[in-house]
Amino acid sequence: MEVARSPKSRLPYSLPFTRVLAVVLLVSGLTYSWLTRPHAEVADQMQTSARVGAVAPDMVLPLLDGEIQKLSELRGNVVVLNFWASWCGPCRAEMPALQAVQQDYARKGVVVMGVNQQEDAQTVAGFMNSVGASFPTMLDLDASVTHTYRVTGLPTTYFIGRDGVIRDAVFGGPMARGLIASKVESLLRAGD
Amino acid sequence: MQPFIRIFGLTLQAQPFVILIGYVAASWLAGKAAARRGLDEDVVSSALFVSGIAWLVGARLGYVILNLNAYLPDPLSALALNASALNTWTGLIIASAVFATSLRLKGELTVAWLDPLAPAAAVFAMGLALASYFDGSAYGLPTTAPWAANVWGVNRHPVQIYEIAGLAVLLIALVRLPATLPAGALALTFVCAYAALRLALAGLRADPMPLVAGMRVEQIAAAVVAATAAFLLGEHLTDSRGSTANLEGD
Repeated sequence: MEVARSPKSRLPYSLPFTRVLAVVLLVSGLTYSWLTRPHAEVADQMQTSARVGAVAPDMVLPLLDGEIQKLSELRGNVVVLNFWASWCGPCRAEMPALQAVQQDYARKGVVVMGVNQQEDAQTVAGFMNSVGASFPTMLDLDASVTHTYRVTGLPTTYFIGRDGVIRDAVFGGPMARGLIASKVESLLRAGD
Repeated sequence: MQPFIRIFGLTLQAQPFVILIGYVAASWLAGKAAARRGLDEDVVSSALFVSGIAWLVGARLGYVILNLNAYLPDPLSALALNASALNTWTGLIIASAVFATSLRLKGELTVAWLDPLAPAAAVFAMGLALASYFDGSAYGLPTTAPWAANVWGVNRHPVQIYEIAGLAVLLIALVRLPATLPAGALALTFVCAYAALRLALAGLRADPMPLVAGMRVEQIAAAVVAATAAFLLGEHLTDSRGSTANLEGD
């Protein structure tokens, strides 16, 4: 017994349910996408936060030489914000890479800024000399900034664009030079 | 957000650890699903093992090639162990090619092998969603719902948890579907349903996503993928039913 088929289709039946479903899915999906598109006002409400896509929370901390540094003063530069401590093995391991990136990209408007967690200036200075690092480091003596940035492990690194928005974050380490440089170059390209 | 977890005194990065657990669980499930369909469990397990390694190599290779200028001054840094220097898409392309090649070398490259991967992919996707929950990515829009999760200091839709719940329902449905469905039908069902789930959940996300004409690219792509998979599924099931009818009539 042969099954009758319509001349224009190889299907033995009229339009199957799943074809209708496909069209419904496409139309309703695109409609839903339009109705739920991001709105600028929502982004504005949550503008400052230590999350990718938000403006990096500002901080006012002393540097090693006692000068006060505000993070917002670095707006216009690409900032690699690295939270570390001298007792942290991976932090020590990635110091040379951070230093190399600072040296290679400083002229392009890149600042590597360390944030040390709860150690005194003498300890920090001695450690940085021992690893050959000379990039600026702020002292978060009471861990208030560490708390604001929700740093739960070291090292933690935020990559901040010229507009002050956090564009990427790396939790843990050690980061290799190539990784840091790739993220910096991505931010430099975005800012062009 | 909890990007680090501590197990037996060791501090580990949560995201790669959870993804690894998800992959192991998915591989195990793929083997069981293959056996249920009368396929060789060892074939799919070994293919997935090799593909996993291929994904890592391909993802790292892709990332380095796409950022070659950054790696040229220090090429050895391309070998550094860091989960942030990976390109998901190049990894997926190479892993898929290796998986297909692995099956082909064993003379097993057929559409039937896609079906055991469907429940496995659901489990793996659950692992990816959980990894996002740990590292605070793919976060949701603010909400006053009682089940909201506090992420980044704001009560938000726990989109990652929604995704895990949706995938759990999908997994149960996939496991309950009869093993006698035409080869490839289970895989298409998964693709359609998961794309629809991603489409729906993307509307509740607040993290930055690529846009076109103001709409999220992911949602547009998901709508097209879901619709295409539904269409192909319908064609596939109808053809199979028509073939069966012809056989019965002979």
